[in-house]
Amino acid sequence: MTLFLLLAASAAAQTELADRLYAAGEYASAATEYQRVLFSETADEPALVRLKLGLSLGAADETDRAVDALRRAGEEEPGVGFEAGMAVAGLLANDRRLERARLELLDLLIFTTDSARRGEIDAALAWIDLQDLAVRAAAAGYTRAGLDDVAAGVEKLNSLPRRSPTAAMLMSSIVPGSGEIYAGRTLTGLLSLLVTGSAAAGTYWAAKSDDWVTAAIVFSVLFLRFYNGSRINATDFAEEFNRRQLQRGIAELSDTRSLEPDWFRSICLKTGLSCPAALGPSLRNPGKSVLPVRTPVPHE
Amino acid sequence: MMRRSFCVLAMSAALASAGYDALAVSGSWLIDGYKAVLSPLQGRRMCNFWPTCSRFTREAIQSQGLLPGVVIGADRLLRCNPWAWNLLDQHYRGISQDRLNDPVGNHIAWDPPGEPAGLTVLALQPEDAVADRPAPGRSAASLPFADHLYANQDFARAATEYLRVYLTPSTLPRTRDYATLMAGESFLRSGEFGRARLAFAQADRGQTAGLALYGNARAWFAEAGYENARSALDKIKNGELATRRTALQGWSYLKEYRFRRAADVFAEDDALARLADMDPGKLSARSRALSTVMSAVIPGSGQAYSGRVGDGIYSFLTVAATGLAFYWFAANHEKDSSYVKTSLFGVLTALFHAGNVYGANIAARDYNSLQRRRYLERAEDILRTISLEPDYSSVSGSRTAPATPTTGVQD
Repeated sequence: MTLFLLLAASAAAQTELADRLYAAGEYASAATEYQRVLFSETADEPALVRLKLGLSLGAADETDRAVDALRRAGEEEPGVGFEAGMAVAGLLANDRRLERARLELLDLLIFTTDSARRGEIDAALAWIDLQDLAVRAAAAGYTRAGLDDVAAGVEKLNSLPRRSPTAAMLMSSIVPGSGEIYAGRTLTGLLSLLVTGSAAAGTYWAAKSDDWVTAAIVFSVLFLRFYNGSRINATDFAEEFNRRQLQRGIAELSDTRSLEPDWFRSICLKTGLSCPAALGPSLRNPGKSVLPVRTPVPHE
Repeated sequence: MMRRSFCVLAMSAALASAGYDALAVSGSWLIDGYKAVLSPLQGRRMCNFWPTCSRFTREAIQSQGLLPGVVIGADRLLRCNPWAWNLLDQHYRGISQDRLNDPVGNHIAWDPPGEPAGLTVLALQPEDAVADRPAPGRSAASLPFADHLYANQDFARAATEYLRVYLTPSTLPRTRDYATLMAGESFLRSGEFGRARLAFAQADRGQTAGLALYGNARAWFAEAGYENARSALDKIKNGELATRRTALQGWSYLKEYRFRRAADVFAEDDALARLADMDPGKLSARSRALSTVMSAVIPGSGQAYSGRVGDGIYSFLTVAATGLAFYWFAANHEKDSSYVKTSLFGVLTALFHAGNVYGANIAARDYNSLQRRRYLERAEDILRTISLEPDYSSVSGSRTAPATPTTGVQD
């Protein structure tokens, strides 16, 4: 330890120590040392050290602090604004804060003139659109980015079979269960038909034998509940069907070609640090889709 | 003869108990079946609560037995009405799974729920940390760097840096005391209360003894160890940290809902007169017995008396509706199959009524605890306007220019 501290006598040596800690995977300690260098205000290229600080904080899972450090690096030295901005967007995207990542990229787009970099930003924005299942916006983004083949592939997602939620709801209003079957949930549809039909039959028989109290109870407590439930379910299932179709289509598209932006490529090139697995979304979840997974709504 | 009747008695008791268990099991199965088959057919969002009514009843049966479980479940069904969301932050605290959080544990009349331990961490504000502009060429392994980290709210790293200053042999005693206390503050802020106490214990001597004890007390306070916090405060020499000490002492009694004792403590210091003037005798309360009896006579009236008018109306309507149906089927007995309907609605009426009576009891209990919580909140609002954070300016020298540390790693 003492040896390390003696080594840290000058800013260059201190940065060296921090770099070594980073290379050894001690990201949190590396972040402390980078901060020490910055605090002493002796670094030759403080913006570069700040980029390294951001990267090490990000790798240490201190996302908010990392975002602060990277933003500040971009403000202090506009020359590293692109590297910092892409890294910020990447950290936010990995944290599933896609809306904030989008804002960060849009901000970056305003100040970027280089066409290759603009293309990279456009592609990243299109990827975020794709996560939101906004197919048309994503296709337009990929066209702007000059990736016409990807844009064409994304455009094709529009021709996937769909189910209309309104039509499903109307179908279930006429014949309970039919909308669910139309939306691809045959078992639930048949069950719904059976239960709602039984409630209707129960109401009818009770009314026929002049047992109006029973008829009213069966109608209000059982029939209405399942009839409405069928209409609600038909709408929900149709929406879910469409979402699933898109998600499957996007997954197939990602199999042929990686669509995820390489958020940290430029910052790693700039700083000369290696990008740890924890920073890259594709490496973080190998083989796993990063598409939003809808949590099933728990039932009563 | 005796022996035989004893045998018959024992056997029928065994049978009854087995039947009761079987009923409990089949009740759980029924609920499972409902959850698997019928519930999904009603569309999303049938229930306002988490756990949902069926889950809740199942858990209640499992933990309390069949009959109490079913009654607790009936009370839940009566509370699951269109007005339930109005009681968020009053009777229901927090949201889970996008629904009102309402675990079974909050509804056991004979086993009161523990009050949630509100974590209140008192530590030096980051903006009060002695952090001045970094100057070029400053030694990096130094107290100012630690202060800089503290001011930037990077408390875990700040703690390490303060400890580094503390452990450096050539650090001046005065600087060391300051670094030790600040290490304690950093641990407090990063939620490591045990370590905070260890750090404060290192400063428990000489001039800083009072501040160290105050830190120790705040660390216990943050962990809801109010008794220990008070005993640490008692060790502080008289006259030292006067208002802070008294305020924290009173606050610790408030946290334990010992309002009268707290008011007595606050009365010792004129600066805390506003807190001493809060009269705990004015706390409104509802009698659990009266609430229960009211709902037994008129369904829902106990709930209304205990501040839950919506639940009261819904309970009244439900019990009245099932009761009327029961009466109707019993009166028109001669018709076919009415026996089944009569007994079905008889059982339903009895269950809902029992649930309503039980719920009225809980409603009064929850009303009283809500009043206590609100009293505590009012007092805490006042306490937060009083600066209870420690003042280290006497230790660190001046606030704006900290004592220049002499550490062994200067270049």
